[in-house]
Amino acid sequence: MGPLTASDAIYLDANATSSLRPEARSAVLALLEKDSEIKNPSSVHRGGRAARKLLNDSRAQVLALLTGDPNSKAKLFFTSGGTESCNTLVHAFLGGDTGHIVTSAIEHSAVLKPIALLESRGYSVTRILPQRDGRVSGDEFVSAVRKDTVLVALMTANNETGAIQPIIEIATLLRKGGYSGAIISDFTQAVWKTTITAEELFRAGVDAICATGHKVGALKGAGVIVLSDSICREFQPLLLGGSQEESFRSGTENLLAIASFGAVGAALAPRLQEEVSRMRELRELLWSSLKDQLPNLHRITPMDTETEIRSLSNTLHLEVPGCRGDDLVVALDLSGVACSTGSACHSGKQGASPVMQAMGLSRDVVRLSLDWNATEEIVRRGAEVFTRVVTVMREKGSRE
Amino acid sequence: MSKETVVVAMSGGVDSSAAACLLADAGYSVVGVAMQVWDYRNHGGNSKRATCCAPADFDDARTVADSRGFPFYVFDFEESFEEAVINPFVESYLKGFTPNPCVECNRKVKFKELRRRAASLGFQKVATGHYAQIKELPDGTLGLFTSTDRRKDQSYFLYAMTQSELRETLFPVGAMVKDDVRGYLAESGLGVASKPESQDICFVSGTAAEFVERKSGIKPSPGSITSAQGEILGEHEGIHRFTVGQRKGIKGGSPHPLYVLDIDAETNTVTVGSEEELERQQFTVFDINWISGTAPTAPVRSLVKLRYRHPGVLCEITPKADGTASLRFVEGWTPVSPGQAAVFYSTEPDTSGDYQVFGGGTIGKGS
Repeated sequence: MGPLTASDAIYLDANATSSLRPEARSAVLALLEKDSEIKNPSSVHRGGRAARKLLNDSRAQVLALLTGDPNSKAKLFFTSGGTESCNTLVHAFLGGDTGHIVTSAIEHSAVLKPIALLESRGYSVTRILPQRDGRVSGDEFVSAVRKDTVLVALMTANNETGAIQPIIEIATLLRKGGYSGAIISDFTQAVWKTTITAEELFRAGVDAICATGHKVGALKGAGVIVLSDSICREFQPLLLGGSQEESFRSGTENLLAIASFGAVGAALAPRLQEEVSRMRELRELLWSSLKDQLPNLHRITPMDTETEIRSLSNTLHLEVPGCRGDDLVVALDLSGVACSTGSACHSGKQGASPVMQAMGLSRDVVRLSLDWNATEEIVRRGAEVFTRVVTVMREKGSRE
Repeated sequence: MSKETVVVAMSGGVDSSAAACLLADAGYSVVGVAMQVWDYRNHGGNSKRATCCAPADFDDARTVADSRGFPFYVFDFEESFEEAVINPFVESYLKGFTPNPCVECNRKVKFKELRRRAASLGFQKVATGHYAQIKELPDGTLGLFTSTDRRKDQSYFLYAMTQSELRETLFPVGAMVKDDVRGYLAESGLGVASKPESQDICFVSGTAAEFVERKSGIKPSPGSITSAQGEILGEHEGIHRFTVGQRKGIKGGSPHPLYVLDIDAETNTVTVGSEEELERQQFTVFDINWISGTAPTAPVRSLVKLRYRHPGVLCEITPKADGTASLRFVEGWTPVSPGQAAVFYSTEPDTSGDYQVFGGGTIGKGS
């Protein structure tokens, strides 16, 4: 095996981060060139005004992408990324020191951990386990809500299994039943991999969603929170300071990342349907090539039906009996295919994720997630390498 | 032409860093693997006191891998390490033994689990930064030998290796002296060259007794300290705090130095006595590995090391049918601590001055 560089690799790890889209790249380069003209968006002078215009143009572009509505009245503000957005939202609507929180056991750590912190400080928490298909049961979730429930947090789609959660159904039922607490949804993975819009969530009764640019092909370093325009509850910011973003989030805005996110929004919004369908076709091609060539392969990502889209269009989470997931990721990396078992962890260690634990999955799992620039050729080559590596691993791993 | 592929177990320390670089320099296709065996954050400990698997050490290993351009991964071994090393370590202490976890880690984790996982990834060999040597013997089998740098020799911890393991293992620093190992890394411009030595049991911060208490959740249970004649001399706070052969002060003093003679888990008693009372003619060893693959059919004389850094004492080893052996001191004697490894070396060095390891086992309580 020769030394492989990252650029030779077949990239099947878009749920960790997407490749930079050309529109994002152009926006970043243009902004770098215009540094002498574009300063701090909060400044009064012309450099400040130019920066503010860029910021607000980007805001409108991203908002249009997320809501599917160029005239959306929802309020969007920028943060440093998904983790800050999730942390902020968990705390944003809690007025008191106690109360009950309902969430799922498969949220991202950026939601699970701040909720665990609240639990240690006096809140009570119900965590709903997913069913076998990776989705929580709407009925179970709704019946967990009590009189003292102050926060409901459920992701729109899971980053590992790709399973779309019944957040719209749940929010609708809760609001019909008179639930008046906050409902938030981590929308991070749903952008460009589904056609679900934040507007649909808001109409169902969700108060706020969050997302991040780098999962969509923008630079890392720009997250967003979007508040429903019908929201009528107080928002407590996490970061205090210079009152940027209308005091929702203090701190000088990361214009490079924000501009790149805006450029992606402008380019992607008109062709979102088309891109989602294309990804779904490629994902199904990947699945059919793999299951035709490899025996004993289980798809964890739910199958879509004629009437219902149940999964992120780009995601294929697989159980590969006989191949320890973390070893399989290494073997695939050495053979030029980039993927992961689930959530990337900063230490590089790949233990069992909360999602795998909650679903009772073995550690023989791997997640393939197609990037926006995937092609039939990439899928075929990826499937070929995957098949070869799994075959060798199963053969050699059973030795002794 | 495809190059020979090797997985190097990298801790972020001097020796394994050098091992990986030497192999990369020699043209092997190298992959560095850090073994995540224990995480203090998951076990109620203070990660700042963590002595192993610290992210900073893994980053040192990562820096070395990046400098030579080979891939580096962190492998999760927490489950198998807890099962094969930590739990037996704790149980052994609670039974009145003083175990050697490094032997078990090498036997069950490094040269078994890591080797198996490396093989499943298509790797032919596993390398570590151990100071020991593997040499081919005249009959074509492989022998384990002490390292060239005798002060650093770690063959003691490797006696449980088998022929097939030796055949798929490399010890790149085994024929080097430590100063040269550091010098080699320094020449390569790697900061890890000046990293201090780690000596103690990797997963224990503080004392082994504290670790055993924390992991098992036991409360100190006071018991008696008695003389060999049964006279109660004092009280102790848990048998796991003692090692046979250890010198032990008694409250109120004693006219002559006292040593731990025996630890009885059933009665929770520690017996102490004079150095003369500690002396034994023979002892048993169980769970024996003979590196050749077969036990000798007649008694053999061997230089036996009874703890790490022990110079060795001449013993006659009589293998028994049940797989254990009886060891008799031939010349001199030394205290034996049940649970520690007894490692059998050749009485004479080979032409290069290295001693061969024939095998070894765990010291038992009986004679």
